[in-house]
Amino acid sequence: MDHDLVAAARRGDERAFMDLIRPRSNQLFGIAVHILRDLDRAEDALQDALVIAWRDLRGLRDPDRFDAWLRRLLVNVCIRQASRERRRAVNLRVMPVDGPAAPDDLLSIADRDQLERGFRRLPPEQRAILVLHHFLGYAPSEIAETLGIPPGTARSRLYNAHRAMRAALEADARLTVVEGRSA
Amino acid sequence: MTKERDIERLLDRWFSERPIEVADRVLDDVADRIGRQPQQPAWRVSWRDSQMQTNLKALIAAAAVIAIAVTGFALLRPGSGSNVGGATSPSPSAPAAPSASPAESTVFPEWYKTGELSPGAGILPAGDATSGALVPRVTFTVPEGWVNGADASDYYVLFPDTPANKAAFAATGDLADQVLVAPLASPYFFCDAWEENRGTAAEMAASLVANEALATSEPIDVTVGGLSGKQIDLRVDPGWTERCPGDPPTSDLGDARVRAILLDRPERRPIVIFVGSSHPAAHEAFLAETMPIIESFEFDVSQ
Repeated sequence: MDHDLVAAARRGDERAFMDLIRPRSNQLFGIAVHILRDLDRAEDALQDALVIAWRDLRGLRDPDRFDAWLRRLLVNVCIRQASRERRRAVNLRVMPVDGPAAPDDLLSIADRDQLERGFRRLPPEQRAILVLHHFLGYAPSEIAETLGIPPGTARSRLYNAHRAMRAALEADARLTVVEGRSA
Repeated sequence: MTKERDIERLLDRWFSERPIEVADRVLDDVADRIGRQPQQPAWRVSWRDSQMQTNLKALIAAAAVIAIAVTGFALLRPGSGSNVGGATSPSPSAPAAPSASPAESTVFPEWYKTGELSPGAGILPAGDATSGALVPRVTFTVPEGWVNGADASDYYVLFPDTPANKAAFAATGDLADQVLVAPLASPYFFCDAWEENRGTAAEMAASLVANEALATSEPIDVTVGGLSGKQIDLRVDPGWTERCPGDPPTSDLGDARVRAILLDRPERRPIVIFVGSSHPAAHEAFLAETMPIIESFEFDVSQ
């Protein structure tokens, strides 16, 4: 039972902690991958977040909040890492897009590329909001809890993130047209 | 593809396109790293993760902010330069045999297990010491027997190598007595639902005094390392039987004692120095040992 595992991990039981995070690891990794758009950095972020979670677990008084707490730690680590990378203007390794796709996949490669470019233009905080909403399916109230912001703020930030994504895609489309004409 | 109708649907589909699985080696590395990473006491956690904004944070900090021996307030005395209290001479404990360290030049007491995320400088030689990662950098003078347990940009820990700390660490992984230095907007999130103040040192101290869950001393003016602010001693009010909204029924706010020294910086978040003791009876002696060190603090405010 997770409640017992959290309690045991809080007492320093490393095996309990690993048992706790193992079934959550793929989803957590997915969050990191989608925010950071880079597999290596996502692995680093996930590891750092999990070690921080272990280090600070005694601060978690309510075991039932473990998942929300852990996601918040991870999202904050990803945002900090993405912010550093943006400042350094590092060219990240692009995520491969030729992996196994869902059977009802309707996105063209061009769409995926455009989404990738548009998403990368967003600030890390907006990326995180979109990942929480579209990857985890979080409602604004759940986003608010995860990010530690008021629900109204979460709603407005989600709206702004969609708007920014739309603007980024439109800018990318205009650029593509211009490049096509000049080619 | 950028029409209004498309954006949300496209993002839904894009994020669900590929199953994402984490490699086993990633979790293997985590297992290895946590084997080297000690867990930290709850009362340290809150001010390190300043982005945490929930009742959880309130709870965590509660166990931290808790404190004060009103009698400890009697130790305060005015002085020249730094006028924070505490006048007795330091009484370092006998240093333990050093142990292997995470860095070649860093040595910690044998009983202490440092973290890999923000390891400190270890056992400090008597004399002048300077932080490495903390912003702003702080220089100070320590007697023999003190240890820098953690040094991050937003978090700096000092503790004496004493039998009390050794025993507490062996029993719980916590230190009994320690000093934390951190730049913070709001160090005392006692109850998230009540927390509004993120202002100056004086405003933060006033908010602490007004908090019905805390028993506090009267804030006094202090100057440390060229920065002025407020000093206040705190504990959870023994007569307070409520819990912060959202707290679990089993929450335990503890009986620690904390002296908080809140220092203003121009256009920056205040710096907070916490002197905490998990055992109330030991707090006065710890203050007497610690305050001369704090009085010697000099911050590099250019950072």
